[in-house]
Amino acid sequence: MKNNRAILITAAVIAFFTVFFLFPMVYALQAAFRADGGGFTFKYLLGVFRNPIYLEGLWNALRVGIGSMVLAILIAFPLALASHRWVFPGKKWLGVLILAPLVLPPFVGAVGVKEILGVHGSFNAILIQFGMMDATNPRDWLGQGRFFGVILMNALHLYPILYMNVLAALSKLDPAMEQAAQNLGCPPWERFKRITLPLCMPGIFSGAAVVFIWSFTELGVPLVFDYTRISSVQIYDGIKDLNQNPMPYALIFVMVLISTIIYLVSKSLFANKAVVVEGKPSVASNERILSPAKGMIVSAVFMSIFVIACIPHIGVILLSVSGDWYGTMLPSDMTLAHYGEGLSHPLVVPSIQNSLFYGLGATALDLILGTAIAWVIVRSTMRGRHLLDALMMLPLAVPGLVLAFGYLALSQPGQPLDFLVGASNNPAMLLIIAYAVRRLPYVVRAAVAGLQQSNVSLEEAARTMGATAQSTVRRIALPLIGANLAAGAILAFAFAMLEVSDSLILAQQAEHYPITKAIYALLSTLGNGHELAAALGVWAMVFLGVALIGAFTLAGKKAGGIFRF
Amino acid sequence: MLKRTGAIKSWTSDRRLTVMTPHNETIQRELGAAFIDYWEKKTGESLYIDWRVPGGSNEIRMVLDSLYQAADKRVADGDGDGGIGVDVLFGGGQLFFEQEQQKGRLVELNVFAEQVDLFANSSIPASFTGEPFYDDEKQWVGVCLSQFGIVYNEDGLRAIGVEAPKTWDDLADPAYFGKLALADPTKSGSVAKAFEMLVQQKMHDRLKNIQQQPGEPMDKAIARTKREGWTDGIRLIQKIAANARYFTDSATKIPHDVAQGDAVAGICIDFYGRTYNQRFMQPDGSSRVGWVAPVGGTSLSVDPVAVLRGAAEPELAQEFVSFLMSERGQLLWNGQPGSSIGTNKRALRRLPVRRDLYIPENLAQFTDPEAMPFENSGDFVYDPELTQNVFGSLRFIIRVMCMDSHDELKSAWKSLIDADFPVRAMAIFNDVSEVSYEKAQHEIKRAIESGSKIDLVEQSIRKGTVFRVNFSKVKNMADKGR
Repeated sequence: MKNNRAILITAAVIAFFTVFFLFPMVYALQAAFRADGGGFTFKYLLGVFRNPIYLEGLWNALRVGIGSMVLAILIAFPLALASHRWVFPGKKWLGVLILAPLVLPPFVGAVGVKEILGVHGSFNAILIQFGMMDATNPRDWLGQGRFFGVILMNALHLYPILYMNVLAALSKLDPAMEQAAQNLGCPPWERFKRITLPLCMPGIFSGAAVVFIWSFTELGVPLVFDYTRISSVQIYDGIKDLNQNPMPYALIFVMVLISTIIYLVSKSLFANKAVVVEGKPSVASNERILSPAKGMIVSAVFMSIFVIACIPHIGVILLSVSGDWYGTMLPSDMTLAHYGEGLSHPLVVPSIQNSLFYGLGATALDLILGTAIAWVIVRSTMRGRHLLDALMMLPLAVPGLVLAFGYLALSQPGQPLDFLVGASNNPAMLLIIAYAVRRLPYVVRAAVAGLQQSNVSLEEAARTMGATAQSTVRRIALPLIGANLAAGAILAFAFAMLEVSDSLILAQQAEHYPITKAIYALLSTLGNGHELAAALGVWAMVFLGVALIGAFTLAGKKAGGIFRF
Repeated sequence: MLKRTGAIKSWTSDRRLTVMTPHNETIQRELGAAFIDYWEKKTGESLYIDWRVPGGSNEIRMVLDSLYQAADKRVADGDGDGGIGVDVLFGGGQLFFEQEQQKGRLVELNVFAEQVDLFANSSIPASFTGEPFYDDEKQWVGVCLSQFGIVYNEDGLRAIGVEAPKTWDDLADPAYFGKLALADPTKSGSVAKAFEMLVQQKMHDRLKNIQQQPGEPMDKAIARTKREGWTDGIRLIQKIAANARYFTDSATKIPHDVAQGDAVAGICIDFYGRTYNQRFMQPDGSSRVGWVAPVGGTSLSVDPVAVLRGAAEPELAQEFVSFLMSERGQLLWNGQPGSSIGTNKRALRRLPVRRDLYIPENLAQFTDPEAMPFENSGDFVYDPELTQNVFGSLRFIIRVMCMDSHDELKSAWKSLIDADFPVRAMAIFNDVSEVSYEKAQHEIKRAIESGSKIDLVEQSIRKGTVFRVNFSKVKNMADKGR
């Protein structure tokens, strides 16, 4: 790619990024560096490192990040490998179901977990029923073992990210290489270690990077477990402090710094050594059909992971139909009344329409920007493109609330971003851009992985034959990375629909509420607020599930059948 | 499948009122519907109420700060009238309204002149149990009453073998270890008030029988007694915090966790307690969730309403306030749904501020006729002299001693319980001299008011370390039986 074009694209994307991400972030973080009488100071930053509580919080956050990432890899990688290599009973459905954690709605997900794992929840009720627990002394699962609970829940929520990225990477592998190794007598483990693993490193890295940074900064899960000795919760607490404490902002800066450093270091260790495939796979993919016995075992493993990962979803579904749910396996007096009341509520239908509009808009924006920037990172020789790569990951590390308040402040009448909301105070454009900025990392990572694995010589061949740059991109490059883009876009859309912080702070008028804010509003209804919110949550889950299945079908036809449904 | 309602849309109504509120969705719907109905009957105009709900009073404070900062900047640039596009501020606690009033964001309310009698004859008293019910400068007025109390789960109490709690002291019982759901005083002024009440009660108890030491002048004795009362209060808070499962800023989390049995008891506001109590009420009148106002330990305060500076619809806003103070508006707070004075669908379970409405005809249609707040709350009178000037210090102390060091506090308390409270370890645990009444009034207060955030940070690191070291010491000694 000509460097001029690269520089142009970079400049455009950086401009977008600066205005819509760096600007609000810096605006919101200035409190961390503002000295008492005005002026600049590092005292608060140093204060973070001198405070043993914050240090412990950072250490715990690191451990949670690494633990969640490792566990997610341990769950996702074998599943992806199995899905890639074998055919087993129910593979088509299981391959989609395994992605269920993606569609968990916020707020009610946490409530659902507590209904199941609480002291008087379903799980204990089942154990008591089977005589495995003393009814007068039920175990407090959520109260004890909180650290491991957080890691487990993170891993179960985030493994689909790794699963999709690894699967996309595996689909690019030329089976000829593995077959050649097999013919030469290489044992399966060696084959895996020396051929498969290195070839799908980009996919593993892209997924792992997202999972690590997400877990490192995750707020919701530690809150479910009331695990407070961790940076994200300390920041959340601090921001809402009535004394307008600058320390949390300093802590945010430290977290962003750590995320960036870890990302850059691990990228240099793992991702740059990607081995590129030589052209399209030369033999057909060799999915082996397993014997019924072995096939059933694999299916059972998929199914169990699915069930465990779906504990929150099951909780939400049961809650939405419950009259009272206390100390029993299933709710007593189940009822559909909450659905009736919830769906006739004036907030609900508009919120669904709004979310669709915002989510689709953001995903489209992300696809355009993400592909362009991935191009620059992988195909150009522009200096500083690795820093650009790290920059694109930043939105994952900055806590939602901070960015949301930055956007709010900057979109007031008279402030720089006012044009986005205009006189009618419609936050649609602002929300689309806010969602897009936050989801950009998924699409960038996916596109980068795709480009790293596609063979540039195919594009060069096309150019030699006289194709224009646009033609090459349209007919050669994009189809080749189509699968990866589909993976990134699906993730971006799903998470945009379920986005919390921006939705809460920026959508101020009921007619503009997205689904997440409608759920939050319904939660506060006296009496059956949780059940009502759960009903809307179930609706969101079903809708997203259908959307994802539809997306898979689409991507399947155009992307060499990885997500074949 | 998805029914459309006949709700008024913002683009079809004649007028529009913008209200910022932390009140729950039920209050918004019921009161909103009633006011819209009233306005249509009065003027024939259809009305759309634009409810802005950024979150709790904390989020609203941040949003207002942000919005007014931009508005003031516009005014300085010669553009705009200082308005932020919001007409009414409704709910968030009396402390929050006092703060907003001091920032000059509220305007004088017409209701004081329109309904002079209400205020003159103490249908709405100027203050009660030491709490102001409306603003001296007439810029906010209390709409409904609230009290903090203890919510508990009957099954849970049985499981841990204690009676229903009646006073704050009961929550320090070691049986509650790991089972109390507490609210975070650094996030909410009302919650901080509840803790302040606790300390005041201890000080009142001591002051009721002052023990003058030989040769000690009375004023010195009083001062010493106050200090001792403060220390009692801090020690009680420490034990309650040690029993706590968490400190949350989500007000609804506490009654919900107690109802679900994940906590046995917690501190929460009256109407949540009552709502959950009723929700699980059996035909025989018993319920697994109960709520009680601690005897002699809590005051009655109000949840106000005000009109914001620069409102786009100032007259409409004033009418909304007047409606809330009218008989119709007031009775909605506790009227039974479907009754002549009540709401449409759901009960709000809150108590009106107007004393003159607690008459038999109305009480017959109340959901909580036995609450009788004015009769039942008189035995605690909030004395601002005792603790008002150290209110900020108390919040700081709770954060540093109880919340930041919560893990260490819990470990120490557990070890003490297991070792049956050995004397020497207990002495160290009870050493709260770092946060004495003196220190609260001087050292800590100075750090908070100096405006130097870095000094405050230094203080909290220093004091936090002292406590954490002490708690480790306590744990070690208790583990060894000393």
